[in-house]
Amino acid sequence: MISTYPSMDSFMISIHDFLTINEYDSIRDALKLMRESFHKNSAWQGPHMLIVLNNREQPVGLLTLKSLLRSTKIKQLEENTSFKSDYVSWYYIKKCHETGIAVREVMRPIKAYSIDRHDFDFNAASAIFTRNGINFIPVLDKGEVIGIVDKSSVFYELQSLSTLPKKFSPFETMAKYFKDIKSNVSVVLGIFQPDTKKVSR
Amino acid sequence: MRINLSQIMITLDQYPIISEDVSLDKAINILTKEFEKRDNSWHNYEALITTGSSGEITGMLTLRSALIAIRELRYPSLSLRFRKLLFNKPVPRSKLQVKSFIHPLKNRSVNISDELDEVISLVLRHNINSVLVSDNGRIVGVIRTIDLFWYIEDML
Repeated sequence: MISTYPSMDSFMISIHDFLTINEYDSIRDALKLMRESFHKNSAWQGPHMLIVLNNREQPVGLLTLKSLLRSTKIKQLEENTSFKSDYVSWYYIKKCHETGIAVREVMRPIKAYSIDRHDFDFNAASAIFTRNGINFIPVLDKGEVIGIVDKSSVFYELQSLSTLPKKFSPFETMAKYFKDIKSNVSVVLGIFQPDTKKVSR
Repeated sequence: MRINLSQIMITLDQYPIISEDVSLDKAINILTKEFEKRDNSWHNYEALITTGSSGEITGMLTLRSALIAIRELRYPSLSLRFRKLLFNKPVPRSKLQVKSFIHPLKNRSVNISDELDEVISLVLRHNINSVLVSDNGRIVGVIRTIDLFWYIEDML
């Protein structure tokens, strides 16, 4: 039986193709590294994202352009008197002022949104992209990050699938039907999951 | 130094513009072609600006909205399948128009005299990847998140 779905490896970007940064590094260091990332492979076409590692060199987050934009807002809080009047906020601002804003303050944790390699389907992946306004989803294999899928690749693959003539065997048709239902149900249930909870769909 | 938005925006003549009355298929093909040639292009875009019947700009067809459309066509939700089964025949894909899927200007535009900070706030508040810039009520350009990147260091 020949599957009409492309292999995930054909459009997933390996984690080794991204530059990495430690979660305790400063945003200024991240900006420099992001500039370097833009020129990775070919000029201006490198990834617009960094992988954030903890002290044990394990991936713990993604640093995207939006994460970096968020850091400018934290900087503004230093001027905000009502925010500073709160003891915890004051402590946080003082720390940011002294050591700079750390990457971990603005990164998106890996666990916020992820997708399992063996459970991947286009419907669930595109639902995660469109409902959460994100551009990258980490791909896990046995709990470890092995790569990233980006929104434009999923768009392109889905569009390519839509223009292909559908040739399903009866068994495939049934399997696809049940997979679609399973996916629809899991997407509906996913609405009730908080964003911070790991989403394995 | 104050940064003027006109210095960082992409002007309309550099951005693809389509009528909101064209078919969704045509718009998706334009976005797909752009994806295919991306390796050779720096000024790539992931959205199309849409115009109304008298040429006025009405919004954007973003990659996200195009993805929503393709997904809904390929994997219709259970409720949609049920509704179609009960009430009407499905509309053929070739008949769908861009106007049904665009993001309107509301919550997506800033004034050319606004501060850069206002653009960043809008991007983060609505979780979008590009904003339209207007001058005296007329849309004159687009700012993408990548265009903002170069100014972050100055703001830290």
